[in-house]
Amino acid sequence: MTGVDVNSYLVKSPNHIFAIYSNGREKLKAAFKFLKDGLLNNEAILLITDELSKEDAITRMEKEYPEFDILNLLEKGVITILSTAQWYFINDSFDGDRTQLKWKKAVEESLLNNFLITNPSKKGKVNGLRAFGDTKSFFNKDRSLRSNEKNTFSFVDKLVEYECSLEKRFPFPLNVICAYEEEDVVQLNNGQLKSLMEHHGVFQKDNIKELVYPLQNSHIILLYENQQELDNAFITYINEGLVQGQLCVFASVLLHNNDYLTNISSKIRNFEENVQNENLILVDMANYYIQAMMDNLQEFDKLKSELMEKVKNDKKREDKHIRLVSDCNEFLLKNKHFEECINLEKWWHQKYFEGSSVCHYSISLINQFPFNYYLFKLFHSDDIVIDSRGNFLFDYVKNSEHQSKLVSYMIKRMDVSNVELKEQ
Amino acid sequence: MSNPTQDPKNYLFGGRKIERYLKLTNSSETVRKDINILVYETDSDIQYLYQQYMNIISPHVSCTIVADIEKLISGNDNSIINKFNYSQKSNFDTIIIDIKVDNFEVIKIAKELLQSISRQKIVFTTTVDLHIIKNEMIRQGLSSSVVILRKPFSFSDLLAVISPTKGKFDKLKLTDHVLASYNSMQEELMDAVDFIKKGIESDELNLFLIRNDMDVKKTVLMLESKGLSNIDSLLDNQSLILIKNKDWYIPDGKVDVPRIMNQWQDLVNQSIQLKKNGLRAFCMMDCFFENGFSTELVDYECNLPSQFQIPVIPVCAYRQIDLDYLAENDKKKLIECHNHMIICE
Repeated sequence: MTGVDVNSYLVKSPNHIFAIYSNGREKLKAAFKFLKDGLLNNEAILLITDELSKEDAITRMEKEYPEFDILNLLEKGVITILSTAQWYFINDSFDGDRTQLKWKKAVEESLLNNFLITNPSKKGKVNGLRAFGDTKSFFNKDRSLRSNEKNTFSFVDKLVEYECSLEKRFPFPLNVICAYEEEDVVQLNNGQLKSLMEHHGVFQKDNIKELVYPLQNSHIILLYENQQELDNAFITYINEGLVQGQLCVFASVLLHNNDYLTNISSKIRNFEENVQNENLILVDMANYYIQAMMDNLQEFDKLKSELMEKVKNDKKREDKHIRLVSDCNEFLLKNKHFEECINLEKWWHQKYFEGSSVCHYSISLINQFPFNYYLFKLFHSDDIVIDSRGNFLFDYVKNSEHQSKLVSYMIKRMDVSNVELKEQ
Repeated sequence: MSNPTQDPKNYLFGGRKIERYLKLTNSSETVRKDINILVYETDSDIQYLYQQYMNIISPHVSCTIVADIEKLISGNDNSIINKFNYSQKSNFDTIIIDIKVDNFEVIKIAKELLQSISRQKIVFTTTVDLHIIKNEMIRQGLSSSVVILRKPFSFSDLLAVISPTKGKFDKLKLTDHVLASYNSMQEELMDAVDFIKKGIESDELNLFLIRNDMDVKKTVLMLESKGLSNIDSLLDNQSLILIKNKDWYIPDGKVDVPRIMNQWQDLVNQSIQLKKNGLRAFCMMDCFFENGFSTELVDYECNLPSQFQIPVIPVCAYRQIDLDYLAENDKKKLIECHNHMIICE
């Protein structure tokens, strides 16, 4: 995530941001970019990290921010560089309440600062604080704890507790990135990760993104509360695909039901035209469903190949991503063909798909007996499990492998958002 | 947004349009397809609708429509479904029977069909109030396991109720680790018999771990009555071994995982020495709960792989109340360490 992108996030989204970086290098690169954009926006900046010394940080700022007099800004308090120990810890212990108060005080001080940033484009008073808080040390400290100490105290547990005492927005002009590295995030348990998601504005700018900009070869499991939510979600998925010039496939066992398709078609953008131009393909899944009940997925293979071939040979179509939404899996599950549904879910991951696919399940169905017994067999560790608004659902993470893959996916997601935001 | 000006069904991929041409399936022409359905329906309009619906799925489904009760009883072959015995197999995966106020006797026929072929899937269709139908079913002693489809029904409603005949153990392989749960002893014993029968057909060594409070002699008689007619010879030639589960799992009052694992390995070796194809075991698991070893049970199960490298297929048969007793995380662990599940409602 680059500073420019985070800036875009900050305009409309919560200002307590949870960011995950693939390594320390990427993290620092993002930190310097994010903070520079703060200076350009007349914000005071605060860098909290142990990954490099204050001197090294100053040297890098001088190199990367040639338009600013770094030493002068440091002296005036517009730039602050602290170690984790200086900000979070006192005598190696951590007090979340105290840290919260420090944030408020830091913002107040920055607002009192009368220094005018020598920014040719935006002259004016400091109008807030932008901070980049590196959490690496919490994980390092836990790693250095002896095993018997770990049982009684964990810096990471305290960090999560502190993070969860903060909300997505601060009641004062503060924009903070809480920076985590991928290798550390995978150490968190599902509950911790879920809590961090809930208390940060992760992907808040566009959290329906999984349906708007699905990644290549991603299999999305959409869990919905009611039919309207479901309809809205897959209509978004299809309509966005049509706008982006992608081939969209609506595969359903319900196409023969009176009114069903009429209702859906009224919500799909230029339905008739898109069907006639073969931008939108309807697939009657009734026979596929029967084949799936008979454990024969050859027809599914054939369908996948046919669709990919079609897109490949379509010289006019620049975007080769195929979007496929299917209700066959849910129909199998609803009718208690459990093993067959599990097999079909596995099938999605067996061969590469030049596009994305969405399968959906009703939350109330999968939470009731006996469906709940099959829940974790149903999901694959490569599945992206979201709700109809595009939020990741960590309650349905299958195991540590699934969690780890989801984190990697989220990092990929950030890269996609960079492209998207730069284009805006 | 625009509305389609034509019938949206005409847009289906691959030119699979709805055919208007309909042909009444002659009962004598029934060809074995993936799924075979028998429909008892007297209303010609509804018969027409069935044919329309069946046309959509005709590559895989064959449908025989009959309008008189005699044909419902005999299907398309007098020798098939009206002879009531335990080895009976139906010609049809799903039998759909229409019930009208004036023909409640079809409930009796359905009951007789289920008595002869207990796993026959039967679906009632009706315009009659469901309470009336259910009360009549209760009055005639028919279980509520019959699905009732309220008229008018859509194509997908019909699609939802048809399915191929599937035995619970048909898809299992001789290396699977199966988790089963039961709400009734009756169903558990029925499954145990079906499972053991398959083992005998496949020339495997069969182990049946019975509850501690079950009498071995009475169990033998019960198995015999449920279809294991040659049980004495099976026991004599060691094709079937009956052991109380407590004696197998916790003979000395503790769950000794390495000892239990060794017992499994020894029995697999024994099956090989007997030139059997492998070991099949139906294991009632209640003894762990009865003796306060639920934590140890989860630990033991997690020590077993979800799929075995040796020729053994255990069905770990739980009472649903015991599974309900487990913490969610333990339940999840149990599910993860089995590669196949049979959950009875």
